[in-house]
Amino acid sequence: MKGQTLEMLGFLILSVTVIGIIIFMRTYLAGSYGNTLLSLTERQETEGMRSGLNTILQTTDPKTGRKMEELIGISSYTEKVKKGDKIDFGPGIGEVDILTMLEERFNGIYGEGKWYLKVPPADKFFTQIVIVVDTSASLCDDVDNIKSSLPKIIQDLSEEYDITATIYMLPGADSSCCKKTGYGGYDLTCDLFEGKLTDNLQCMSINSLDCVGNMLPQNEEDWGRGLGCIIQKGPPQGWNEKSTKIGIILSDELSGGNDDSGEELYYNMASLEIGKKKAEEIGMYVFPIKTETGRKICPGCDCPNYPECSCAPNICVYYQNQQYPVFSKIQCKMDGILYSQMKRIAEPTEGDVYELSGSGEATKSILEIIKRVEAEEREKRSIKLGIPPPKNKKINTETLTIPIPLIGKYTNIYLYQWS
Amino acid sequence: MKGQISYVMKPMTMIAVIILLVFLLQSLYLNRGKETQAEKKLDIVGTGTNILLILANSKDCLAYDYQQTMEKANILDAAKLDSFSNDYQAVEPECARNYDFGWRAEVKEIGESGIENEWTFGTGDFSSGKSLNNEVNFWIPVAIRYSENDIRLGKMDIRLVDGELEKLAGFLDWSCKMGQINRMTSSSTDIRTSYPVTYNSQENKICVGDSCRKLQCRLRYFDGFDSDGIHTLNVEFKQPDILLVGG
Repeated sequence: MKGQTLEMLGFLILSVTVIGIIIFMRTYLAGSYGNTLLSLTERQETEGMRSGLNTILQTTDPKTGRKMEELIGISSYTEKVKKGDKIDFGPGIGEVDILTMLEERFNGIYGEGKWYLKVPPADKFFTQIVIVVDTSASLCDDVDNIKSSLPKIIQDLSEEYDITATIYMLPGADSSCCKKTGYGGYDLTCDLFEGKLTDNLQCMSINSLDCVGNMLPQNEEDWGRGLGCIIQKGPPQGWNEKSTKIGIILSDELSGGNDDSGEELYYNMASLEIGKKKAEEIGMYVFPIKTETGRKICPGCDCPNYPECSCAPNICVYYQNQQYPVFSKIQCKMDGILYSQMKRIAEPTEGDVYELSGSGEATKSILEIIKRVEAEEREKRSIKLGIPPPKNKKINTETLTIPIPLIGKYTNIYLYQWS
Repeated sequence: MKGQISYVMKPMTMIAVIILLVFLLQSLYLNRGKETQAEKKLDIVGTGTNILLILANSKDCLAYDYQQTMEKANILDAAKLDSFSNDYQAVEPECARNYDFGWRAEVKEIGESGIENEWTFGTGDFSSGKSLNNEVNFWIPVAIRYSENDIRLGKMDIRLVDGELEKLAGFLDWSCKMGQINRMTSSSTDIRTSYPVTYNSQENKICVGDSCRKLQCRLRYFDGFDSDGIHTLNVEFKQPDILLVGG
């Protein structure tokens, strides 16, 4: 019995060894050539795509005699970024539709629907920002936040972007609720920013713009009219036609001020319309920032009267860890109307309403707005051809730098290709 | 009982071991076949890629010769294309000759209305039927330069064939070339053919079955092979372009 067991065991060992040898040979010997062939094929695909892009960029346009890489640069710089946009090369040559021509060439090499090309703009993001500030007492905490954080943010951004920002203070009111240290008060004026202003960040009283007629802001909350006035007069550097214009409004009341009736009145609508119309005329993004109205702190808008402040009768707002009664119950209850009014100026100007829930969020929101507009503008000003890459395919990618002859800069071409 | 079991088990184990060893040998044989096939495929793909790159980027081939400016990849000279198209209708150009495979290239200029111009060059005929071992087709994008301000888009396709005709003609052309550059005057090889081989001395063409190729050197004392099979070829070069062939 023992001998038979050993015989069986010997046979088993032999079988396992033979099977092991066969598996090893199949996996490693023939497999190695297969793998090399696969990697060679993959390399051919990648090199083929790269070479296709290089080749297309070296070809010339029959009308202008210029190379495609040069024409893409011109197209990017002149912001003719859509198929069908024509660039006029003057008498003798005429108009050229660069992107349609480029699309035909890519289709010829890679096949229709099998590639996607993106060329972001080469120049820095150039923006002119105006910030309209409601100067009523309830904005003390937000202005304080801007004063302490915005200068550094603008300074930092100026290294990356071509940026200027101007803070405009609406006609000041008595803001004695703004306390520096427990007692006494100060008004919300540009004096607060003394020592913090630079060439990139300035502050102006809106009254110094000398707007007249229906452009003249009527009170410390008249931000619609205030925005119209700023747009009409322009920032200290004047409007530059190539800049991206951003208007930021900082307020907790309807444009022109809340009425005790709790309704949006004609003058509120009129003020808003002026700002909206002017913003649309100049192509400005408007981002109203709705500061704390008391709704989030006291959802029922029913806070106890607080006797220390002269701005009574109000509900609670926190400033420097103390409760200050600077909002009437009506103002708190108009929170929803204010939001819808702000939406009415934001939506047609491609902006958005930002709602703050605390005093430290004003600058953070301004930074978010700048970054968001920058991303949107880059997207808008990017050349995009072909169809976006599908998710279920293996995508080959290639990035190539091309010159922009008109400004002596460079930009990247991103190519995505699949089979 | 114990003895009886042992009496049955031993022959059974022996048969099982023999079956196992036969399976191992068969597997070894199949594996070697697969390995050879993969190696050949890799070889032909690699060669095809190299030929295309040489054609497109070598100044001796089709690449535009930039005298002063930086060199760019895959820019073909339209004048060279015309010249290749005239000179190399039956043989591959010397700058990208391969002695193991035969190839023919086609350059197409792509314009708004589709293909606007076309050039072809390389060998005119390939192995076919049983004498064809393998073939690949692929292409690369190229730019075709007419002048500094007129560079057009194109594609260069290549058909690369591994066959008995290509091997036979490749050996004869290689021997001729080695003789012409004084590297080697005689050489020999074993060639397997699936069809009879004929030589047309008038046109200096060698044929395997119905497929023919033009040779670089003229052959002496060679009438072909009347049957298929493995043939031994001994050749000796004589200046300026003669190969003396012996069996």
